[in-house]
Amino acid sequence: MAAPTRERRDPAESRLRLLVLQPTPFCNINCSYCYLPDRTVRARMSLATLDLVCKRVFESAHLDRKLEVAWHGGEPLTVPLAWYEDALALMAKRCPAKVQLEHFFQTNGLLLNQDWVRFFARTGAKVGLSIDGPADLNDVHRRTRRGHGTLDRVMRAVHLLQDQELPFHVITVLTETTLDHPDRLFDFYVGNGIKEVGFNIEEIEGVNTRSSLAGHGMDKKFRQFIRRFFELVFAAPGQLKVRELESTIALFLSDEPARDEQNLPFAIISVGHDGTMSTFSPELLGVRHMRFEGFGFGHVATHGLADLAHDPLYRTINAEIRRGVEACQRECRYFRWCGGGAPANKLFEIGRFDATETMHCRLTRQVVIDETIAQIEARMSGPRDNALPLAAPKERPQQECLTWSSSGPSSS
Amino acid sequence: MRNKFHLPASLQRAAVVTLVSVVTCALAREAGANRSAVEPSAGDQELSARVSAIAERIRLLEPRLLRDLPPDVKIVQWRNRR
Repeated sequence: MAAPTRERRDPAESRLRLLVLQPTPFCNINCSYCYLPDRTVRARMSLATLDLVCKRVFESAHLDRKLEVAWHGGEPLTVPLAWYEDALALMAKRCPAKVQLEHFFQTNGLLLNQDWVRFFARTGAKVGLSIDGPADLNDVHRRTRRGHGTLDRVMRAVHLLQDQELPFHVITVLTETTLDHPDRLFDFYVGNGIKEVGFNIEEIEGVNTRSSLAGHGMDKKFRQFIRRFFELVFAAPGQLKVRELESTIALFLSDEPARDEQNLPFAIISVGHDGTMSTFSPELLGVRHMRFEGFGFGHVATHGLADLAHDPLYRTINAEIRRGVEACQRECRYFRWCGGGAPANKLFEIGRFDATETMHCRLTRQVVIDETIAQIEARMSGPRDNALPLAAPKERPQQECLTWSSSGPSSS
Repeated sequence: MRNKFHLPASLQRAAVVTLVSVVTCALAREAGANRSAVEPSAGDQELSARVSAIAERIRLLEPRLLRDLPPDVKIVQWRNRR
């Protein structure tokens, strides 16, 4: 391709909200549910490639005043800290003054040490740790290549971050193994001073072609887990911030229908370690599917972001995704709070982007919405015969503010 | 979110202020003040009607909550974001 196209953004198009950068596809552990095919490949993004990423992104008309940069591998901390020192300095140098950059690292935590903690503190980078709960839940899936559990080492990372009072959140992947243990999982977070958690599920995606949550009766079991976990969170408000509850309540309060950033073109730009660019679900980058050669729509060396929209593969996929979102809008009563679902899950579960309901959306959208409504309604209506039980079990942090009176001090 | 809702001081110190905590406390305050004012919901109502009832009640009890919500709450985020 000749010179990249100069961009003029249609005001109706989405803003770029998230830049997902893959510094390496390599991961130092071997989780049973990982979707990445190239996690043993030790390639690394060069600073020259990152410089081109900056050029393409910062010249883009899709750019907003704030841009979140997610360093997401592979395992991002397998790339030396010195590289990130240079990388973040380079990005800061290239970033227009009017744009605020916010860096975020999602890590398994095994390599996190004092130097990394100081780096996160100095740069203001946010940290997410991947932990699946107590050892018997975490280590059955999150293992080293030699088959050893990883919890001990990631808990060292938790303590290092806590010692420096550096906020972090945890992402837990729910598998069938976890679903019998909502109380233990809640206790694990609260007992270890973990304040924020988000739940992912074991997805059918990339090379992970099966999920333990796809079996018979799993929807019901998953719902029971979510119901119990939400009950515990509502019974001890403020002990644990659960991403799914927070985002769902916020969506309920919003005047506008939800939109899903994964099916909005250019809301997310993903760049692989080699400079390949994609948009839509970040998981598409680096995975393969029988219907498509790949999901790279351009390369930072030769394409501006505007050029991606002219790529034939992009046009095919975008059109199929749009049809899928429209079908969701026509058919699904959850659409207003969902926005049409994640393209990667539609493709890898059903084989097409224009599909509608998936296991992923049933569990992470429909069940979550239903159970959030149920918890709030139970508190709106008070104890009734057909309401969810409000009682919290013994020996748990109780709902302090049930006794709170409006005559008490206000912090406003 | 800033810590400026009607939460007990002990809760503010001990934990994070969440939408769950704000909503739970607001509903508990209301129930304690005037339980008879609370309208029970019908389990078989349409989903949108149930959500509307929830949103209306929360808006009534914590009007500041809406004002302070970030503008991008209407965006469903990628699963590896915070």
